[in-house]
Amino acid sequence: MVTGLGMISSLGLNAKDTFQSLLDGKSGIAIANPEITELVAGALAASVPTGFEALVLRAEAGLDRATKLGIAAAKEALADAKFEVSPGQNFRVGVYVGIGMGGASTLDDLYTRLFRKKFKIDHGDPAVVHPLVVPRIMANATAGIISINNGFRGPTNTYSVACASSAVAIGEAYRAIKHGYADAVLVVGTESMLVPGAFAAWHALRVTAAPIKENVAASCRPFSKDRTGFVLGEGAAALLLENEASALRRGRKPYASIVGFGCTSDATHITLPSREGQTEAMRLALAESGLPADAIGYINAHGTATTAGDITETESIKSVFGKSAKNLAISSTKSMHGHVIGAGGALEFGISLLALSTGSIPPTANLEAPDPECDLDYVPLTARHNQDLHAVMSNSFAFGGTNAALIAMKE
Amino acid sequence: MNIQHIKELMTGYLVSTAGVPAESLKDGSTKVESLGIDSLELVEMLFEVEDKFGVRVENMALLKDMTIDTMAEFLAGLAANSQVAKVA
Repeated sequence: MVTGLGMISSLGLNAKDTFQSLLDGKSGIAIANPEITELVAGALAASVPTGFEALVLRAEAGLDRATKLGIAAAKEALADAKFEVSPGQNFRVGVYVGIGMGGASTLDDLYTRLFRKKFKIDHGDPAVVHPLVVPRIMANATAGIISINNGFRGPTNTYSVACASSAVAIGEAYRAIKHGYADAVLVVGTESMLVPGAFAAWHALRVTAAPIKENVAASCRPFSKDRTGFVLGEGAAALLLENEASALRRGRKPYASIVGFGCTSDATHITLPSREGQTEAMRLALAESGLPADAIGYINAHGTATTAGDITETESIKSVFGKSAKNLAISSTKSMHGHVIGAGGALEFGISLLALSTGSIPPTANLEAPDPECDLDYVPLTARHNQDLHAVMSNSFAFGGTNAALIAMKE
Repeated sequence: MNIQHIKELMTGYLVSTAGVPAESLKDGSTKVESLGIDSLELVEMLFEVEDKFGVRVENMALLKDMTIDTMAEFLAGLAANSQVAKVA
């Protein structure tokens, strides 16, 4: 069961603000920082607002930005769950992290300094670089620091499967608890690549949205016929997963229980999605949950607003849900918080849990004119409240071909 | 004067990043290894000086037993030699 949530996104520095902004249809998408727009004119980004640095310790200031975002989200989730590890339990509590790249800002800074010295723009020996670059950029930096900060001595695993990273981390943590390898696992998804080098690389792929000049905040338009792609974002989300005994010890009421996880690989193309792989991931999750397809009331879609992605996901949902697909409420919250890559699975599953526990479904923003090939109910423009939800699903489909689907059910 | 500048870089790092209480650094004859910093913090502190003065300490064993003052003098000596080498 999930007993604690933390979120930090372009929409807010905590879960409450992030979810409320989504329900209000607010967008965190804006013109990117000047370092990026110097390189790519008019570039868009969904950046975490200034002020988040106050959420981490002064001694942590030098860590990579993705790690700091992860630390902040982890703190919120643990405080939300009122979780403190007892000395007898610490080897039974793990940290699982999902991150797509890791260390982007640290590497960008390293290469900038190194090449400025190498090409004599700055004075100095190019080989003199910060000695902590390695422990800051390693993919498991976030897991290591959070384990140290909290004394969690169970397994610390890091999953890096692009946009499905933290969805897979949640699924694997759920399995570890289910099969008795841990009593509790703090799962953190985090990502921060809004630096010139990484941003230029994403831009070169031609998958990012063209800015709508008169309203840049509305530039990401999933399932819309005028969609042009996603907006790269940054952020983190954390979820505390516990077995029933651990949660009951503190009398903690959970948000929901995870009941199904499906994970597959396309084995077809490094970036293009495949209906077969996505369909099987959702089918596996449903089968494990034991729920009938029509028990799912809401899907937080992967919904990247790319031409191929939105049509493929629509077809996959129809394959799995059959006639009940038309009754599903589906939304892509990426329209507002941007695509936070490795953090996306945790952020969007967290949003799904809040929808489940509050009965309020966030909309797909900017969906004024749907693509005729995307003909399901994508909750266009406006949130729906007072919904009687029993179970929810969150989809995450990644470059590299990994597909992950998670299902949670009300307690 | 490089010694003073280097000492300021060292103590600035020790207080603001490594969390060493400022009063522990008042006495320059205090051994650096007694300040409770680990090996990573030591190399991070050195980087503050290496980056500003274009020097590099290859043999960390040389720093063993140095005090705050002797380490600042040692690093200033490296910086001075580096300047000489560049002029020569």
